Amino acid sequence: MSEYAEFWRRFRRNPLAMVGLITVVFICLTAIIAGIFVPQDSVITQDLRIALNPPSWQHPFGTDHLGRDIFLRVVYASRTSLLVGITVVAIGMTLGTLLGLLSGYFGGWVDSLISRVVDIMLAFPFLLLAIAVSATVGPLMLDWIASYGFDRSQFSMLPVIIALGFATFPSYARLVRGSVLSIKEEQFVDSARAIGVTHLPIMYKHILPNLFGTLLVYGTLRVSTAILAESGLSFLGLGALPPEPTWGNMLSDGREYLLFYSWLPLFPGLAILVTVLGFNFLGDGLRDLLDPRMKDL
Amino acid sequence: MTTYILRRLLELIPTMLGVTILTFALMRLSPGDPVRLMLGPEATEESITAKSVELGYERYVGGVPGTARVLGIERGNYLILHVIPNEQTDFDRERLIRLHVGEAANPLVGRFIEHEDFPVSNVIEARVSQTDVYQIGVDLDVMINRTLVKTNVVTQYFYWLGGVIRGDLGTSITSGRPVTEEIFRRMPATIELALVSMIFAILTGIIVGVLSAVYPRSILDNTSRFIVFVFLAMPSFWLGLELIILFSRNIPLFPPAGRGDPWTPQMVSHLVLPAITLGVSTGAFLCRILRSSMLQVLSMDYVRTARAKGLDSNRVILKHALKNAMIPFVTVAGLSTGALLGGSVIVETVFNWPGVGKLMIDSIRGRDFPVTMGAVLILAFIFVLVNLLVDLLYSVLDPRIRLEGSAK
Amino acid sequence: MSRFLSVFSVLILLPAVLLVASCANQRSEEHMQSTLVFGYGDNFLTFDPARQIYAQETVIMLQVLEPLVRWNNDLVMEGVLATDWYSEDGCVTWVFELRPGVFFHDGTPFTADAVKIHFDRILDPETASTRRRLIEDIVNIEVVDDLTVVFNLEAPNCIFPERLTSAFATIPSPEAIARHYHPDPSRRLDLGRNPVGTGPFMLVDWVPDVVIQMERNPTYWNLEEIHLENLEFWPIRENTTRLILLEQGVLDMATVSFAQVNVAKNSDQVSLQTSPYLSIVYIGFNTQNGPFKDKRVRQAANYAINQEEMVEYVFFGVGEPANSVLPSVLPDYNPNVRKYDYNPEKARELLREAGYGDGIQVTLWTHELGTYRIAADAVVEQLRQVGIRVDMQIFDNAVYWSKFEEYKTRDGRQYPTKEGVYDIFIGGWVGGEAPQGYFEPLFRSGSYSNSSFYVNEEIDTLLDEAREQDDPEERRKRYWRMQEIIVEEAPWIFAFHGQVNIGVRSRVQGFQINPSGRLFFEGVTID
Repeated sequence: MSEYAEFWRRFRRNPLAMVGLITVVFICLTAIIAGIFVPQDSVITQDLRIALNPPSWQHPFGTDHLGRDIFLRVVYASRTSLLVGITVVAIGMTLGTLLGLLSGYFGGWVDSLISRVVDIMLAFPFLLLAIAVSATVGPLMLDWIASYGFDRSQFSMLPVIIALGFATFPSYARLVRGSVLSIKEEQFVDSARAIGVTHLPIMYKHILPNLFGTLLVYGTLRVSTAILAESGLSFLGLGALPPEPTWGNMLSDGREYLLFYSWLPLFPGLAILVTVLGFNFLGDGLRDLLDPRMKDL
Repeated sequence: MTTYILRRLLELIPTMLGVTILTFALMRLSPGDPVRLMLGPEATEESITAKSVELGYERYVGGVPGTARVLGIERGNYLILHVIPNEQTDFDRERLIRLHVGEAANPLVGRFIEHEDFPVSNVIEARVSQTDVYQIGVDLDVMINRTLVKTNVVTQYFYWLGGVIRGDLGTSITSGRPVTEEIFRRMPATIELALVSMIFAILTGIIVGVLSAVYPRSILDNTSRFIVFVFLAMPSFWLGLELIILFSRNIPLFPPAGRGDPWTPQMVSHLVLPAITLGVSTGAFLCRILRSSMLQVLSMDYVRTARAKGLDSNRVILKHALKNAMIPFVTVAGLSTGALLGGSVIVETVFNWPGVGKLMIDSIRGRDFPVTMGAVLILAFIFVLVNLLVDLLYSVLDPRIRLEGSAK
Repeated sequence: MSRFLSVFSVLILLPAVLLVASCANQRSEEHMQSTLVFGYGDNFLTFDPARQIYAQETVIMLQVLEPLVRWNNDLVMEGVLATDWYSEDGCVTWVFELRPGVFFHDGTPFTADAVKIHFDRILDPETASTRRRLIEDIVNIEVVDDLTVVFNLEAPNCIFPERLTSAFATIPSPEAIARHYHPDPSRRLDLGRNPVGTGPFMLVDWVPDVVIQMERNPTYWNLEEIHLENLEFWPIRENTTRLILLEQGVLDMATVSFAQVNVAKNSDQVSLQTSPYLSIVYIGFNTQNGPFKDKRVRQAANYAINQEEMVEYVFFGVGEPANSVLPSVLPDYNPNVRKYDYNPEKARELLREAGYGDGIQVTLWTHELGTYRIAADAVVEQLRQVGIRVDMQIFDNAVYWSKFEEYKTRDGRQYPTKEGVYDIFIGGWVGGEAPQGYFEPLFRSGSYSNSSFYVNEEIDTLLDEAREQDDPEERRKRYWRMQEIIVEEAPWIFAFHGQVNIGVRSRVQGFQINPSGRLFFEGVTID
């Protein structure tokens, strides 16, 4: 208990980290509230007669080119954008941790094999790999889902999530492998093995918990990367399909109106900015506390 | 040193092979029949077959050897051939054949004229050099009555890999030109932008990084850190468009789009906005790296000693601290090349910059998969090479790395 | 430290050595002074008439290559490379008298042979031209003498010349075609990249993604009308960027997106020229499979869409809500067709009648850019309001139209059974001045562009009859009848007819906009 209290005491002293934490909590609350109180109907229903109205009391962020309330859409889209950010990190982290753990723990040919695969994946610039995957595998995946009778638009985020998850896992694998190599040398692992504990429990009970800090920090920072990358993919026409709003596709659709109806791209853009800032501040703060070795990352 | 470089170069081979495998896999996963996409909806079965053979999706087996004499050329793209089998077979009659010469097909493949009802597999194949075939009276060695079979994925991969090694990445569906040509024509623009962005990022990184490390927690440090964070958090296409509106429309300082002619003042003014857009987040990142590693170095004993001994503090900072803080800086700068190459895809699209990134996006929009994959492959190659270069530089900077590396 | 500097300079200089000067050609200030620069947004792919597909390609192509006949800005057909054309046997053989003294850019004289070689190439199945079917009724082409060419058709077709106004009917030099198929592959010159025509401008250079550069053809047959010395087309995909370049005077003319018309109107250096666009944006149904096989469902969807609001609020009043296939500016437009006023109640009722009271789930295809995407977004929502839930699939312009092809059969007598076929799609058609340019490709059974798989024997008969009628009044009767049938049958939702918007800077004078979106630079001058 006191360990957490100590942690919290030090965390509170870092103003940026606190700002980050508050922002992230705020965004998460927004997403939850949006999920409960903002029905999808209200953000896809159009009233063409009020298209492109500037911000007013009635529509605090104005209306978009189809007369939809931008405020509600930005709020609602926090769900999808967070969903993308978090699932991408979850996929990348799970896959990457698993591979990195195996590779670092067992060494030998397992290590060579996995490291080689990771090297190859890292040979592709991250965004490029994500673009290539979502352009090729994306449509196939949706066709496949549709062939089972599912509604394509319900799964429109899937190609983006898979593409980004696929493109990020190698960096986790490399990170975890490095940490496992150093943890493996520690006394407690040796002693555990000496008393006959098998591989799986060692990994699970001794090594994984020691990775927790590193992964938490890195994962927090990668949420923002994923949110930014999603907006990039939307800009290139590879993002989520309408009518499902995401900040990325709102910003991207709104750029047509940038010159004369600047509120269209402004608010989704600001939402991305604030969220990414929040996660970065939080990640940085956590890093200072949890993992001073990672300063350089 | 030489052996180290050689070893590193050798190590590249499996990575490069892996890169080609992944690229090929993605290409084969992409929807649609590539041959039909390439030739358009009205293509005849024959031209589809010829193209499939050219791409290695199908190949001919069996058949008997024969000779074909060129009797005439019709409209440049039809050869009239007189075909005679070399040996006595059940296919012994002489035949006339009208051979359609596709846009760039070698081997040439055709069907017999007087038997319209022959299946497509009843073909002759002529593997010819490009100069001797089109003269009337020339005899060509041909294979008659071959059978068409589909190749498996592994064969297709090696066929494609062979092409890649020869520098042949296929033909663009939309322009009909070799992919390599399309990519290399745009390469200078991409390198120019990436390079200038990198220089911009490095300069910003060093200047702001050093200043904020020397005066930590000052207004300068805090403001620059905040700005750095904001730039890192903006989607680059939005930043680009806002910069265009601000510095091109409202305050007309720089052109909003396109690339200036090389080595002219326009080149510089055209570069400013895209280079800032592309380089700023890397610059911001580098600045953070440099700041934290310099802070670390500055707090070390020998720097404090040097300062205590009364050495000029500027010289201390430059000579000792910066030098040691540089190692992580160079690594990260090298790794950031990947981010720059990936980001160039977006920035080139925003600024109408005629580079490989824009080509790649246009090709994705046009479902021109040979170009998409060619661009992915070549950008990945560049990235790998840059990483190698950085590693080598790194070993020059810090000889310990090399020793460690070779002891492994 | 010096070591660092050296390492650093290597890091920076090594790639700089790799950076070779690109092939972008340098143009002087004076050169740009005498150059009209036009900015456009689409992808330009080819100058090859056999390969051309998109409207924007037509615009650029027509500067270099010319057809036999064309529609002028006042919707009257006039001769370009032909001086006279007639049929003396009830529209089965068409005689074209060619303009004398015309030369291609490569110096080859323009003769009847060039016409024959070009159309033979389009008709050759090996060429695989998507335009072949538009002139399939040509039996053969006869060269009577150097300046007379005869098209023998298989059946009477009194509107045959209308077909020859299209971009695929522009005539390249026979030498250029020969080079396209040069026996030695290393000496081949792709026609799509190296066009040689008779047009007012000659292609000087084409740097893909950067510029298509042209200069005045000094031997042009109508040279006194062409005052521009140089012409450049710049592809700029982002609408915002294109508008800024126009405002700054880097571009002299540019296509302006509908979202920016209001502003271009307010600028003092840029004037906006507009014209009704002889085209239609429509929402097509798959009339052979799925729920839209039922006419009532199609009509229901028509009642569910509010074209007036869409045009007024979403498209800034740019364009005209559609009631029928033809834009109302065309003389053959029929004002007395059934009207589908916005009436969601009626739509729901029709759906209930058809047995879809609980709503239906359908797929919609659209392409990604501008008007289409936004129209699709609006349509999806309005359909949802009456219980038609739409699952949208977005494709790129370049593949969008070819996507349809795999679902069609050439004779149109068999219907798509393939899985995953669309129920609704967003389409656009630049039909031009002739009604035939709309009905024939879009509604004849099995036609290439009949993507709603619409089959109606009466329409086919009317089309044949219209072809055979030499009297415009008689033809009009058929076109009016066709409009009645088609609007009643509702294979589409008739969405709206667009508007051509071209921003023109004050230094450009004498430009007249063409309702087909084509650019004619005759009489245009720049300061």
